[in-house]
Amino acid sequence: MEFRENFVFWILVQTFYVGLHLLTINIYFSFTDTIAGWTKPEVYLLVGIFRIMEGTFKMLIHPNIVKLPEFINRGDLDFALTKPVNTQFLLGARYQRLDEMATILGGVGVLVYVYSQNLIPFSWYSVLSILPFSFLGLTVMYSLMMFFVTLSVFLTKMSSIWVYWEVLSKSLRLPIDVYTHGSKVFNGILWPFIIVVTLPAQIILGKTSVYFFFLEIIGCIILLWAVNKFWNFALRHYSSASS
Amino acid sequence: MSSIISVSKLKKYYKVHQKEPGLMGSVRSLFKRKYYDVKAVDGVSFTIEEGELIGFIGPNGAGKTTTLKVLSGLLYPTSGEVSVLGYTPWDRKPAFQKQFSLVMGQKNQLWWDLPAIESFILNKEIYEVSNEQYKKTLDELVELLEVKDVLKIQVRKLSLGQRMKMELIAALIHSPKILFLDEPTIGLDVVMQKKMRDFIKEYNKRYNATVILTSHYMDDVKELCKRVIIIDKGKILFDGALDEIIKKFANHKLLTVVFSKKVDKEDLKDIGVVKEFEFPKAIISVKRASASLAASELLQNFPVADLNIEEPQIEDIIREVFTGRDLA
Repeated sequence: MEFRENFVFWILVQTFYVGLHLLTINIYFSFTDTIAGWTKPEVYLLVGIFRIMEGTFKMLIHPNIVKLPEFINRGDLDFALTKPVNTQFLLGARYQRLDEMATILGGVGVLVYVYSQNLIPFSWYSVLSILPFSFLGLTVMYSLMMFFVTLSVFLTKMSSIWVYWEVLSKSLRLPIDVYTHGSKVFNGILWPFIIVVTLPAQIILGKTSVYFFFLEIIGCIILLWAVNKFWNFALRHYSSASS
Repeated sequence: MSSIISVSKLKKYYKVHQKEPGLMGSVRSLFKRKYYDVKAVDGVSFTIEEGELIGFIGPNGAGKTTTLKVLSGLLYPTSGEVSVLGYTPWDRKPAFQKQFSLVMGQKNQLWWDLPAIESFILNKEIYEVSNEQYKKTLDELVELLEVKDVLKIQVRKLSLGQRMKMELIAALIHSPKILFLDEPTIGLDVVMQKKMRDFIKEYNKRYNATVILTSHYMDDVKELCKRVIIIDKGKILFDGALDEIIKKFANHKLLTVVFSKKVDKEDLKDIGVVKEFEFPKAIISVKRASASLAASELLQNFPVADLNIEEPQIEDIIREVFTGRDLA
């Protein structure tokens, strides 16, 4: 927010991305009625959820996690480690990118369009459930990213971590069934991606059992606990940097 | 007085690998690496009383900063026992962390793109300082360091001196009992160095805070510290009063002579090491034990107008200790 021009420009870029995403979906569906069992309105719903999740992730989580490997490499964790607060929290809540609000609003706009045009029948259950699903999806994404970033304490440099993020974010733009159709191997590899966006959309659309929601809650708690343990263990091996 | 810090047989070793230069060196290190241990701190023991202001001096890589990092809980030691305020630092208990502060001259904790006041507010919340206490402490520190006009300016736009003052305020906003200062005057001009020293001295006196200071500038140590710990290659070489360094390590004295007539510099070399010679003045370094004899030789054999026998500068003695060279 300190750099106003950059802030305004980023909002414009994000608005353009949302438009481009929808245009791509429209091009796919100009050749077919369904993709891997998903209709165009259903994919719109998924796009809306994806944009909200991506925007929230990039607004609250990504700006902090992206800096962690460099902090570790350059010994900049020093000050955080002397503070009387949970370091994982402190380092995870340092920066926010409010310009990513444009991405979130783009996603909300897509959902408003889907429901207002009655492309998918409106129900309070489906609309309100987006919030807890998004929260759980973000928790999964945070935990996975945090796990990989924590490895940099041992490996010092972990620049390849962002390849994983790129694969994740690109894969989530379409229903995961597109990639995993008929392949149990892919299902196994891409399960975190499924949990993040496709599963919420599937549950809202009644494509899968609501019990997965409860499984997701349990999975998230286990993931958060495990990542916190791993982080604290890694800090024992933090070597700072010469000064 | 009671010990506020006690360190016993502290060791901190790092495992590092060596890489041969060039592309082939990089390829080789991908498959096979040679590791070796760097003994950053190697069996260090000392205690510090409450309210002491101690100078921790040593050359680059001596182990000063590593020791401070272990004392502040950043690093886990390889072995040894450390107690700071009754806590084991690397347990990182919040109750312990609220009572000390670490300032590193080469790193900053302030938010680069925000005014320093924002970092102070954040620290206030992190350390759970009450509004009244925060206002009182901030006002005092701002007045003492004369930075009222720059509190709301982005940190990246401040001068190095202003930034260092802000770093100190951020570190002191919770009124810590112990202050670890790692080269706080590095890169500052002489005027700013003096101001920082005055501030540290005043803070130590006013709040009875325990201060451990590392610095490459002997002026910092001479002006601030009664006691110094000299560390080199991870081991303590000296721990005691500053003026005891001279007794322990200085094996020479300086004869400052003013001649009444021209003398040949070569002739003075029989007396000792001629450190300076610019007629009519010369400074000659001689062995401590033979200082009186050398003085008498000078008086007998040269046209001496004035003669002084002086102790060498502490800087010179410490340089001798670190380089292992006898300058006499």
